[in-house]
Amino acid sequence: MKYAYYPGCSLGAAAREYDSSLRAVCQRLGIELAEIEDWNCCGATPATTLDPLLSLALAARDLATVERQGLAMMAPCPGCYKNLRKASLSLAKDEELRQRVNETLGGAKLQRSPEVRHPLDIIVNDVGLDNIPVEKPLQGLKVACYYGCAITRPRGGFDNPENPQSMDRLMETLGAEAVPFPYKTKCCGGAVFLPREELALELTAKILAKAKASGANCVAVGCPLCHLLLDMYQFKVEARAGMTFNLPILYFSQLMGLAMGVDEKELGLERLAVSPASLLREEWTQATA
Amino acid sequence: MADQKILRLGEKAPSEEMAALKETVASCMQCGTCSASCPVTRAMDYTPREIMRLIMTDMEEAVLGSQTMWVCASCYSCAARCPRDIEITDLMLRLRSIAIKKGYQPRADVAFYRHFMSIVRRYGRMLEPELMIRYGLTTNPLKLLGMAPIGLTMLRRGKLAFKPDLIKGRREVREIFDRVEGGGE
Ligand code: SF4
Ligand code: SF4
Repeated sequence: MKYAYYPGCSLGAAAREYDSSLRAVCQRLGIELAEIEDWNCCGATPATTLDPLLSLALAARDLATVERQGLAMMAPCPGCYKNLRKASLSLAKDEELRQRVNETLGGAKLQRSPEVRHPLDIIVNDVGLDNIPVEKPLQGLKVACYYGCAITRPRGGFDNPENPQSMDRLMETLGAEAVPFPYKTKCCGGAVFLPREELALELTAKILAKAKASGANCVAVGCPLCHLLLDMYQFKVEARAGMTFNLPILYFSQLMGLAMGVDEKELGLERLAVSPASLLREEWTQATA
Repeated sequence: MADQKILRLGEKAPSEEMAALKETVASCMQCGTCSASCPVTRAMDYTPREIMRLIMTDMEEAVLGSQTMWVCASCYSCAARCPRDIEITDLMLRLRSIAIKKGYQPRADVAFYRHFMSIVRRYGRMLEPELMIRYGLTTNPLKLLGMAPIGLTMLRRGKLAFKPDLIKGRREVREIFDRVEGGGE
């Protein structure tokens, strides 16, 4: 199993632990990742805001490289995933548009659009839950699975946009309890948090409060922006909302790594703002399977 | 014939860009599912359903001068549920680019998007600290102080990159910006 890996800008900086834990887990699962050579930023929402054609063209440069690799792309950041998937689909459908976009590319042109996939999709559907080697089941962890917006939307992706299941099933496979969580796909405001911080903090507060009320002792995510707001901004959200959450927010790949017995150095748990140390010490029963 | 004038809601014929959008929303039945699904209507001046109505009735200035598309968090909740399969989120993003082109633009939001893209134009990739600093300086330098505690926590956890991750194809990327008219700075 081999995929063209598109880390995107966040996984080299704010979401380093997502990158290292995902790479480690993939290696364990026999998934080979070939990082896309000289990839550029997909432009995220700012490119679309300024010019839809610019957004397509930036995506097309990356897609064309992947096309030469002859692989499907794995994009762990849902912002990139959504952008690249949308671009790939619309350029496959619209010949005239593809030509216009190709004219803006100095290097390789795009012929056929490669497939763009999120790692959750690949792990659940290509590897299969039965093939995940669980060494230390996550007993005692009550996980609220927070998918956010772009893992399941726009619709037509790999999971249900209203009530997605892939991460819940994955957590159960790892031995954790996936608590019923009604805000699975409610927006955290990540895409507007710099120009509209107050709004994002308000949305994030709702998600954290609901996770707590659902009986979760931690939250699993698959998005650097969700993670930034839920984890790094948690103390700010607490101050503003006058509540205490103290909820560790982990990438699904970090939880996988713990259960699969991956070397903790690669999981980057010390990079989290809300430390999961006491949760893991006190709640994780660590019965070896 | 006199009645016709009363029935005509918009003041002017729509511009080319808005006429194209009008076609994409023609099937809207004003059910309000989009507004009910939207997490941020509180901060909007018009709800997504109202925006549809304003587009249908050629109220171009109200639409393009509105805050709605700038508040939109691109969460696709509305688009996932619209019974008429209207791509509402894409439409919001399109409204932003039309508003910029026609000179309606909330300063802070546009400053953010421009800084973001000028960094991508130069390095080929994002450099978050530079974005925060540039954005802070052009909008509200005091806000930078407010960001300091988070910046420090991120720094201690090795989550900030201070050197740009320069790609080899920078020229290629710059040329993409240049060939796409109106992109970038
Ligand atoms: S959900 Fe769709 S049909 Fe209903 S009001 Fe919104 S845009 Fe119109
Ligand atoms: S995409 Fe924008 S308009 Fe639609 S529900 Fe989300 S925030 Fe509201």
